[in-house]
Amino acid sequence: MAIATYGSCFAQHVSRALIRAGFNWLDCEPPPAGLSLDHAGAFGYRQFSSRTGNIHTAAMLRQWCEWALAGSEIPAEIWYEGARLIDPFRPRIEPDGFGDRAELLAARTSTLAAFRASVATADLLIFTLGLTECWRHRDGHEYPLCPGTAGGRFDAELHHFVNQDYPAILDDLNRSIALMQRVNPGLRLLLSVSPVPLAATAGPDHVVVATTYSKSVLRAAAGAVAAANAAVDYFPSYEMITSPVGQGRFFAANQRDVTDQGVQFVMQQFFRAIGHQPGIAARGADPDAADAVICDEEMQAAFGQSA
Amino acid sequence: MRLCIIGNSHIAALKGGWEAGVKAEFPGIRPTFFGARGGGLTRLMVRGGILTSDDAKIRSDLAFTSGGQMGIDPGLFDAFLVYGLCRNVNLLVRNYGAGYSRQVLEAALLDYWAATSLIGVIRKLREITTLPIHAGASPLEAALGEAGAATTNHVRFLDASNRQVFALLDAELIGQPVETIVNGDATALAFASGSTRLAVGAGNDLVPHEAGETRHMNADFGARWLRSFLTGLSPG
Repeated sequence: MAIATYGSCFAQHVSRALIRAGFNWLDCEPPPAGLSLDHAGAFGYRQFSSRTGNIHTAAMLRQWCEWALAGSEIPAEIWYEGARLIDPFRPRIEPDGFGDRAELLAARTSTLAAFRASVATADLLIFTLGLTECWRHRDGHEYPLCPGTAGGRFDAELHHFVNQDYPAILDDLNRSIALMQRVNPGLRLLLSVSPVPLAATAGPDHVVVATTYSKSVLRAAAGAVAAANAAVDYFPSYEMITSPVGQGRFFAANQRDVTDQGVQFVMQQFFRAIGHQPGIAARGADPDAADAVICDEEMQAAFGQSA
Repeated sequence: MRLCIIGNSHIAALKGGWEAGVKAEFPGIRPTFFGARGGGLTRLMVRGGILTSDDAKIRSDLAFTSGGQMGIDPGLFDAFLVYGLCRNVNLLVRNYGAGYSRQVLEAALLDYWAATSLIGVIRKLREITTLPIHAGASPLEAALGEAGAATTNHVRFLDASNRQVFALLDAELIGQPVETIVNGDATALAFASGSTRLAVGAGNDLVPHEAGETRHMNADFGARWLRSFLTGLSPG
């Protein structure tokens, strides 16, 4: 069974667990020969099935599907940082930016082809929803990070905050799935919600309230899509980590990151559910357990306004 | 010129090529070979200004291949060639035609060379000598193919390696002769025919590699490599 993974930073844990467990995890945009695992991660390789960077929202997933699967044109916007160029739709993919426009566009073309290949060849695509809050251009396109955090300049005339609601998320998920299944009619999808709480909110509420709203809406939308589509299922990673039954022990000391133990617990249930044995590697046996997950929200929090 | 040639099993091709005819073409060159199979040369260490090993087997291999020297004394040579001691060079060459960004390519190249014994040996050698150090990567894996294909990616790999890695060690990476390359990133299969194990005084010295061997090259390849290298080293 070929499995593709996309989504928020928690989805990177899913990718790694699948690789370690020996699944046929689709790496449709592999790193170059010689590149170390650490550097591969820093350049956005082997995090997801193509080099999209984090896809936090259903709307961003729809954008990638429209660009890669439906031939929609990607906005021409590029961010300039001195002599370096940043791709606004995956601003952390090249730690120091691209050298020139041709290089950036070539890399983007490569990722669009790889995204399409991953959808076309996967038997199962796992998508982890992370956020409802996002920043958009007045022309409608969405950014994974607020302009001005990992590149670009915030312009109040051009950029605005959106906290996505249930109908919009439902619509974006359904449109994304329709586009994917048009390319691959046999594709099955597994939706989950990241248990990682918001680091900050751009809305008026306290971040705890904002987190509850965000996760509740995402959870409800994922459940509704799964209930209405036989090819879609919901996997309760969010509940496993955040349920009071867990007594908070799956959260790290910063009360936000999910511990390795939590990730392993979630993935063990996942593997058990699909009948995979013997499960993931024993605790502590993972050579890359210490690898940093690239979490855009932390970047946003570092430069943004905390609640 | 007293030339010190250090390497793993791949120097068997150079030794064979030297003895098969290159020797007569370059009477001014006096090579001494220091070899050990596999990753044995990772056990080299600097001791008293000499490159040697705390492993008796490695010292024995060095002595056998060099004709009696259990360590490499830089005072006995005029230049050095460190050869082989790396893997999958063809994959690195292919990186250059695969659309990766310059930053990614640079990171991959640095990571690759940092992990090789070739660079490890050169670093240790550089600790004890300021004399010229040349390097030759392990041959591109052999394949059936067409000669004359563009070797642009091979050239880009060499240029980038020299600029980013070897120049910093005041060393130079020498490319594989173009006439041995097919498909732009492989060695012509004919050069992998009849390759033999490095003679280190063991029971299977000079025993031919198994049929289907594609990583080790024969004496003809070694002769061409040396001829190309030595011609560049001492023009005229």
